[in-house]
Amino acid sequence: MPTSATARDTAPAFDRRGVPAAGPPVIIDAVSKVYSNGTKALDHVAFTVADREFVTLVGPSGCGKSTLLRMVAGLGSPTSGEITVFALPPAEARKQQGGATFVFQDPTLMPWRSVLANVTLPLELRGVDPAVRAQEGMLALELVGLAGSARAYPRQLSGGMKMRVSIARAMAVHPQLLLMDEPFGALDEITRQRLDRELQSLWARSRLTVLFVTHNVFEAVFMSTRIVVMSPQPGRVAGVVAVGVPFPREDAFRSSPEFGRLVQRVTELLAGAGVDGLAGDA
Amino acid sequence: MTRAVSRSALAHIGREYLPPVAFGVLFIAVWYAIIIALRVPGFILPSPGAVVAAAVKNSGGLSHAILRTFLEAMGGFVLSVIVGVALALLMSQSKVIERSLYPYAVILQTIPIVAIAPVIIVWFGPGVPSILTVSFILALFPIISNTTLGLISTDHNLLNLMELNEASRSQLLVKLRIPYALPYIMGGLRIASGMAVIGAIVGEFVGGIGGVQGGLGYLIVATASMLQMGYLFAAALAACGMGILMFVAMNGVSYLMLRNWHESSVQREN
Repeated sequence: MPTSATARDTAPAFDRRGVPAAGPPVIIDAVSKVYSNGTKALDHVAFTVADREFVTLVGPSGCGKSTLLRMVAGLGSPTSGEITVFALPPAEARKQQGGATFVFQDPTLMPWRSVLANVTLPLELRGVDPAVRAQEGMLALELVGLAGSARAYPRQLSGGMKMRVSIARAMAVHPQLLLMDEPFGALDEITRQRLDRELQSLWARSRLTVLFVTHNVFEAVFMSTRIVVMSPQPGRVAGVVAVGVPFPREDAFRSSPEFGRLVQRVTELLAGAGVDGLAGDA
Repeated sequence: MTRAVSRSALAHIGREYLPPVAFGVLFIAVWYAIIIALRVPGFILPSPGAVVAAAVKNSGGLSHAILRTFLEAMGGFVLSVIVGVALALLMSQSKVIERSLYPYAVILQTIPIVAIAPVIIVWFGPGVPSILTVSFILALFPIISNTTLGLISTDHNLLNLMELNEASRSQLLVKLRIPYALPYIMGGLRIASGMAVIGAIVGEFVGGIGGVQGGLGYLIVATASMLQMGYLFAAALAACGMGILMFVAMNGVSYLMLRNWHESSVQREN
């Protein structure tokens, strides 16, 4: 079983074996996207995501941030420009063991599968040995604190728990790049803040690179090392805000003057009133 | 604990079954009342007692006819499931095939089968082959249309998830499309099971063989022509009962297959 052996190789997990060491994990180079109906969704978007960064794309609905993230996952391709993931085209990069995985806005679970069977689905599709994938699945569930619900079915879980199962499924393949499309957008504010904290600690522990999409400015500031602010119609980079606050960030960060200042900065960029905004439009 | 459970179970049975049983009793009472009040002669509307008496008197012929019709309906049903699901799977595999066949699968449902049943008799001759064919055709379309609908309405995000994980065509079908379509397929089977019974009886109307080989459809036609109203009602009621039984059985199968996850089979607390 060569595939199961591969899974075991990366089992100590979350280190960066087998990845081309040089260069940032994600390079987005002058990417434009025109939909088949003629709508221009993205216009010359360019930025990179460095190794172990947590980069967040913030923008209003219709700024093409989800479209961009999906293209980084290899779902659809740019009309012009180029996206490279681990120095490969996105559709190639996701085939690599432990390359990029995608977390959808909805939990996107199969209701007929137990929690564990949902988490191990990607391993099952790769032909990993059942015993190995059960073990890997349990490890991934422990990561999100849901090992006790392995035998439950999705309908028995709350919205927040379903989202954690979805994250566990993404983590089960030991990705080096996690692409997250407004994963907590449908949750209530209290649950969202708790999952933000959990994701942050997961990220810090596992040394992942994360590209995260949200329209929530507070979430972006709390989570990110860098925020790419996008303007809509067509989607452009309105500006980039670095968040230099060290990790782990406690809840107290949310009420600090620094937090308020960063939120204001991002909000200004979103409103098109940034002092040095629109600089990223290259 | 046990007592509490059994009491709530009893209460549940009471809530579930008491109203329909009460209605049934009321129905029979009204039936009797009409016969007595309006002095309806037995050759127009037999009393419930006369129906039971006729059923008992002719129990041999009746049970024979029931078994025969049941086997024909089951045959038509099983054939329709096999062919219907296979055709739907074929359509789901190719957009071209789906576009060319699906509209017909929908439109053909509206064909009044009674109108073409004589044609089938001409082709296959009277007897089991014709009856099976009518039953099969009637049961086929709900299965094709429901299964196809289920197979083509797969959740878009789940499809993306499979694509991101490089799922093969067969993995996509077996691990996503078919399970996703299962509630739809079950809905189709439920309709088809009833249609198969109707098809078998219609087939026997037009192409049934008399004597010991006759099923319920033949019996209904024969007893009606001889004004044996008690026997006719017994046969018709047996046909109803068979349809209901098939429906209930399919509900049971559907519940067993979906109980863990689908809304239709999940018990709600509120």
